[in-house]
Amino acid sequence: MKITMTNLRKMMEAEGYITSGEIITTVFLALKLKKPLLVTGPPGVGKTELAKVLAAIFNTELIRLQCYEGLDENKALYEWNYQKQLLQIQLSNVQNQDISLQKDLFSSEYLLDRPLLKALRSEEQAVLLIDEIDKTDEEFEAFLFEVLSDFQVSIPEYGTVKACKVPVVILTSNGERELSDGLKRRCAFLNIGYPSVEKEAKIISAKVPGISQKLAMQVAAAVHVLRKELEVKKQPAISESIDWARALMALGHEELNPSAINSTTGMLYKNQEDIAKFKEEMGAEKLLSKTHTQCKCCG
Amino acid sequence: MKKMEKGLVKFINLLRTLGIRVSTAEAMDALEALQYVNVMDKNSVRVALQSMLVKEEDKIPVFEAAFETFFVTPERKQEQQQNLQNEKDKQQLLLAEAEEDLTFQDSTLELEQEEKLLYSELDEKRKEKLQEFLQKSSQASHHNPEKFKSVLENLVKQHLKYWKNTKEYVAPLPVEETGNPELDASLAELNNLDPEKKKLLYQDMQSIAEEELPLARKIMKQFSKKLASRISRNYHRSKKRRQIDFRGTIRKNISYGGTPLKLQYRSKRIKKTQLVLLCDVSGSMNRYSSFVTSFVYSLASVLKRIDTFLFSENLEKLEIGSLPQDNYEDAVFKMMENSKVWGEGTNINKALKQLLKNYSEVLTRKTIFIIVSDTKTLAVEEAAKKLQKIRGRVKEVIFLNTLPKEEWQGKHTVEILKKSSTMYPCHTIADLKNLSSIWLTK
Repeated sequence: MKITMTNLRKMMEAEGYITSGEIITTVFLALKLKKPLLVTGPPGVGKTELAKVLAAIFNTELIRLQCYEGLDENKALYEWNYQKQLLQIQLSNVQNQDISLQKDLFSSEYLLDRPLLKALRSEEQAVLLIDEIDKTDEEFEAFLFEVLSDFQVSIPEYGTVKACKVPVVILTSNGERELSDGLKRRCAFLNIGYPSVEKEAKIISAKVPGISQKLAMQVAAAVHVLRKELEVKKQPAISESIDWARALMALGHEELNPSAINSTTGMLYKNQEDIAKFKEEMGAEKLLSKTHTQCKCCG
Repeated sequence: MKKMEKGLVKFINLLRTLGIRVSTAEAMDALEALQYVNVMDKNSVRVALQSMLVKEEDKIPVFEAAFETFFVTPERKQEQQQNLQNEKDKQQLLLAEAEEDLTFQDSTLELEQEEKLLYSELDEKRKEKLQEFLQKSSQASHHNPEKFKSVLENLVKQHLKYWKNTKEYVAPLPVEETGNPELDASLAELNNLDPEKKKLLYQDMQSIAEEELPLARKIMKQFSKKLASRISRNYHRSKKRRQIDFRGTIRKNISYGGTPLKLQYRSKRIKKTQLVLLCDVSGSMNRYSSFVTSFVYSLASVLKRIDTFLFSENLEKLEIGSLPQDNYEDAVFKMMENSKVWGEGTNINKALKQLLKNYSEVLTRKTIFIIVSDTKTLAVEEAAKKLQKIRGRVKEVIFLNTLPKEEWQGKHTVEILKKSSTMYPCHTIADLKNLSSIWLTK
């Protein structure tokens, strides 16, 4: 499939990923230059979703590596099937067979693929999602260099495994810590921020089937007001807007009103402190009046 | 080299001058990326260059400003260069004026260019006063006029320095010229962008006005959060490799006839690094207190483990938990109100002695010990000895010196305390920002 900027946009929109021209251009360039794409931005703006959408577009497997503190190559890249190797040794002893340790026991038969190796050995071009890379240690980042720049890995006992088809690699980061220059240098960079009210309303409409244009617009405008005016620990992201819209729909609300807002605040803010701050400094009435000023549908 | 490539190389040089790190590989990626976008569309070019050249979120505004300044029409470029030339001519004029005004017995005083420019920024009343003083000095008889001239120069320098330290003066952005007229013109224009933020970053922390505090705090919060999360991450890192638990492995594999099919590992021990922060709140430090405590507070709110102490002549442990979580101003106010040591004279030695005596348990191999002070202390030798002692017990001793770095030279207290710690300047918000960068790259 020949990728152009126009058909990439169309395919992403067909998968419900409504986004800006800047994001499309950056993704397009990463695909063309066969470079991993490092995506940053606050939680809930669609970083992980981007990888899922690309997997859907290319009709391929999404191989996901969820990063965490202490993640090492055994869990990320490969592991020798130790049990199988021991059983083979015992079997050889019983059957009085000669086995060449290096040749037989360290062959691909005993190699357990972990996400990175799986992506490299995949016969179809896979989409590899390395999620929340900022949660790993620096040592692990350095270990990724070979995979990200040469799309190959060196296994001491086995040799070098080169990618059958260069995978599409998406790395996400919430910016909890600075990533190393080496890693950043190997990637194209994309920062996803919060969308405009109109774009967010479009996203809500695409993700929440059956929602009226008015409610989608009101939800987007209200969330926009909250992000702008209320300083809280965790700002409501796009995923919270979608959840909120779904909750409002489930409760049968067709437009925003104070009681609808009060009964669904938990969808917007996920900790007690933020909810208390919302009630204290904003409140449903004030939010509604500010939303009406912002929202074109409410006039 | 083609025109586009030449332009890109110049633009990358501009980015590097502005502090954006761009490698050769990234420059090549950017050039390749331009092949896939419509180069006649400015926005596409911007996105292509940004995605390949800028890899940090906080550098995006700098990139955008540089892009908008650099990729302009030839007429606009010419205008930028003309503006720069005008600016330089104006500066030459000011320097000549300063040289003419600041004389002793018809001989120009030997002053640095920055000092002459500082003079030109003075209001007429101050200039007249200074001139009057020089005139009177010139008219008086002197045994050794040459010697007296150098005394006079020092006096003028001190006067200008005093004025520089008052809040009326805004230091220029420390960006050096490249020698390329095209780049320098862009730099000069970029230098004039966002003057409020720039001013706050490079201003002496003491002179930040009350109404500017929210913006200053916002800037500081952005990087202190990053720093704190890095420190916090260090808590969880352990250099220990995973070790096999032999007893557990044998027990687990009895059912396989003792063949170790399933390995058992010792659980990884988490080594938590402890942060101990000693904050000077003595009289000479009062001007910085608000910022230092803000820095402490923004660290403390994100860190799990931090012991904070305030000191002047005596030491006092600060209970961060007792500070209001949602309002910084209240927090600092409460802290000031409650602290018994706020505003006294400085005695680092005494404070360290009390720390070693009463809170020695906080000083462990896992501790990063940070002291914030201007080094103006009594019994500096003893203080350095105590600091050395602490250095032997903790992971690292960091001294955040609130004196501007250019004043460190020849300062006895600085020289001595520097030997027992790693010293960083902590005079402006930009210093704090640099500090977090140093830390983050460690």
